[in-house]
Amino acid sequence: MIIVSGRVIDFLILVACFITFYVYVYWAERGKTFKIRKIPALEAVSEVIGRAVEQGRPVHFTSGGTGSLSDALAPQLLAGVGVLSHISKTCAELDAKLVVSEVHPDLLPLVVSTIETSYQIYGRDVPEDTVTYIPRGRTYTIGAAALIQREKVAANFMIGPFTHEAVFLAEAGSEAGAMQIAGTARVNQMPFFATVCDYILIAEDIYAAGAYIQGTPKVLGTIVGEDPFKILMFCLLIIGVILATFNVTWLMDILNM
Amino acid sequence: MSNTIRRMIPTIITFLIGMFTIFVYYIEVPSSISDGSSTIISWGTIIVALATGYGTIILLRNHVRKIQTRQPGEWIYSLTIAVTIFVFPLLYFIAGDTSSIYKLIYDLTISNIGLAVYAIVFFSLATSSYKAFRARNVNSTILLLAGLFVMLQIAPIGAAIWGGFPILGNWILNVPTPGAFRGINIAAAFGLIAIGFRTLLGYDRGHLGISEGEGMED
Repeated sequence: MIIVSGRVIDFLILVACFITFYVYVYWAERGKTFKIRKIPALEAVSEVIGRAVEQGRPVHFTSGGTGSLSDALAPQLLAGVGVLSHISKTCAELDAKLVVSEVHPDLLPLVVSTIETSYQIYGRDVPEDTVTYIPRGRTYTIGAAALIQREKVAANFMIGPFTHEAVFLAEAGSEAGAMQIAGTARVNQMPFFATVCDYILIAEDIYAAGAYIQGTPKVLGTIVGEDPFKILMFCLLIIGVILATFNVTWLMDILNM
Repeated sequence: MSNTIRRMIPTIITFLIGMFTIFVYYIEVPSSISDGSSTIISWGTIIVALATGYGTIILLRNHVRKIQTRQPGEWIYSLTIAVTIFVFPLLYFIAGDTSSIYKLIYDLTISNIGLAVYAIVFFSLATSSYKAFRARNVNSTILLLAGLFVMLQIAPIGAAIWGGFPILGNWILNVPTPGAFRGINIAAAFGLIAIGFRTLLGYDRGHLGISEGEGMED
């Protein structure tokens, strides 16, 4: 078995991650419990939806205007659906009106199915106009912003991969007087969410969101399992900076294998 | 639908296809096998094409309902969308996408609207910048100063006031900013591997449209 040149270390890190995660899951199955830091954005979901119910205004969700289930942004989309599952359940429980503007056609059946499942738990039918499909590009930017303002949403959730529409939708939500929770792993759009929204999920937070909401020891174990690798990377960064300062390249050579 | 069909079979398919594509990406395999992986990945394009049709039906259904109920202030826009959904493809099939009428409609509608949207984005940027650049505490003051230096680096007046502004702005853009971005990206990469692990082993079933916590007992 020969590993493709240039991907040897990547492969070893991936295998090491999988083994570590599995060890943490194994420990969880043996009764070990894990505590992770609180994520304020996810803790606030019920409060934000409760506020919308009190005001008699809808809750809006969108998963961003770029990517698809068959590209590198798919995990962000799935992470968004994980949060939508929690939002739709809370909406069904509190009888809040949910409106979803969805731009990804391949994600659409998943979004509809997730909402239906959530409503079924509380014995409710999903209102017909809950999910609106908006084609991507400028149409989505205008369409979603118009939906937010027309419906005067009281809660605006934006979780997924965003491009230029991030600031536009966040401002639309702000003008509508909505409390906003946003999350993306696209670093260029994070500053806009950070400045305009009430709560933000930064990068790895959105990947952890589904597991955080589930809260079972097994899935929390996989989040805790990331920590040894972050410490390892931190050490590698320090060593790398020192070596690069003295023009020593052996570490780089190993990592490029 | 039985529990097995709804949960187990899709989880097994996810695991097998996921592991296969990972294997082919990292391990040198004969081209016949790597071609198989490319074929599986290209299925995504086919699914997107089919799903777009599904999306269009949902879009049309929502707007037809608004037209039928004559929703005040909205039905006329819904009518525009409904008509466009039929007219534009029809025009494409009759005249083709290189015909002058097709291009004219496109240039007079979508292009102009698009430009207008990008122009409006500027105002959103300006208002969000205003919100960000208020010195409320130490962190926002640092943000304000960093933003100020970067603006003075780009604007010609910066260099006219003091020659150090372009250097300072450049340093902010090229040293701390990419450093912070890379830190976020490294942490996100491990989050990405973790979500992949959970999806492959069926701990995360969001991709199956199964609500959180549902069916976690099996």
